[in-house]
Amino acid sequence: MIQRQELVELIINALKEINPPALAASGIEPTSDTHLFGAQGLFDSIGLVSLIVDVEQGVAELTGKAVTLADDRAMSQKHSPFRSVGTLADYTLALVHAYSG
Amino acid sequence: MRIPDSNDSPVVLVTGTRKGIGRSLAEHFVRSGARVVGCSREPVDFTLPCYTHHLADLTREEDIKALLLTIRKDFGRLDVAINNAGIAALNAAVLTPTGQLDRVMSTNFRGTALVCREAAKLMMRRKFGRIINFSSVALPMLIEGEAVYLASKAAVVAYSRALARELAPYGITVNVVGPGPIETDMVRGVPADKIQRIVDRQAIKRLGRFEDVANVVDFFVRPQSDAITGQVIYLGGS
Repeated sequence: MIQRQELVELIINALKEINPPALAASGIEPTSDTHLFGAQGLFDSIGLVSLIVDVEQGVAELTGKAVTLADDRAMSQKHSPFRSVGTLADYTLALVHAYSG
Repeated sequence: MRIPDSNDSPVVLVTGTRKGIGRSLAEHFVRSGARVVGCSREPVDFTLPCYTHHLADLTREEDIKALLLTIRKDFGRLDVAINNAGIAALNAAVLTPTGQLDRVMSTNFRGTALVCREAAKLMMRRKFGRIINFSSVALPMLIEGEAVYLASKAAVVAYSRALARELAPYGITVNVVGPGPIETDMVRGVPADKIQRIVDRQAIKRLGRFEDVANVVDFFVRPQSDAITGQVIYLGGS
């Protein structure tokens, strides 16, 4: 079963590959605490699309499971699971564990 | 068909390949050297080289996700997605049962949208893709007795045109073909006089042919059509 740290690394690698302007300008090394979306986030809603798709595809490669990160539950949560690398890893891990497809 | 940046033959998904236009498109792309993936709710009674068939109910999200996951595992890519699957509904609007309304919208629009969504995810990484959705000449003609069917196709057209804008940065085009009446099981279920009235309203007054559809699809798919997106071509000159 995939571990949280693997997902954090997957997300960070995807982040580096996309290299959004805010990340490139900051020059910082992304970590689990790096903000993705929101006031201090690296992405706007359009930019976040590429990251979510890359993470979904990466999860499919690692686990063979077709999870949908932008599902109804994610969209209705008070605190978006797309806030940071860590929260996205947590949400992804929960979906992978719950996956029954 | 030649796709840029590929050493292998392209991978083409066609939905609703058990018969009619879908089957003819599957055969067409196999002849052109593509690897074709087809799907339908019921098994097919044919085999083709380089063709794999999957059972999938496009009203079920899990079936669609499983289908695209299989394509990812088997081929690692998807070049073309053709959303042909659809069902007809002939009924006076005021007599249309809710269940029929839900089935038509679910298959024709929701199924198309979900296949687009999952196909686009697979196409985005390679920065190349061609999505072709289906409308009908009955839509611009606003044929009586097809209100729900036409609404589902209008939704497909609006969705496709908006999606074309969203996916353009990823090198993915989204276009729509709207065939006129063709000799398929779907059309054979429509009264002959009604079909004739549709044909009479077209500029080209004949039934459509499978080759007419393949011709438009080929136009949308070819690499030179990378600036053709968000377009709708109705056959027969409606």
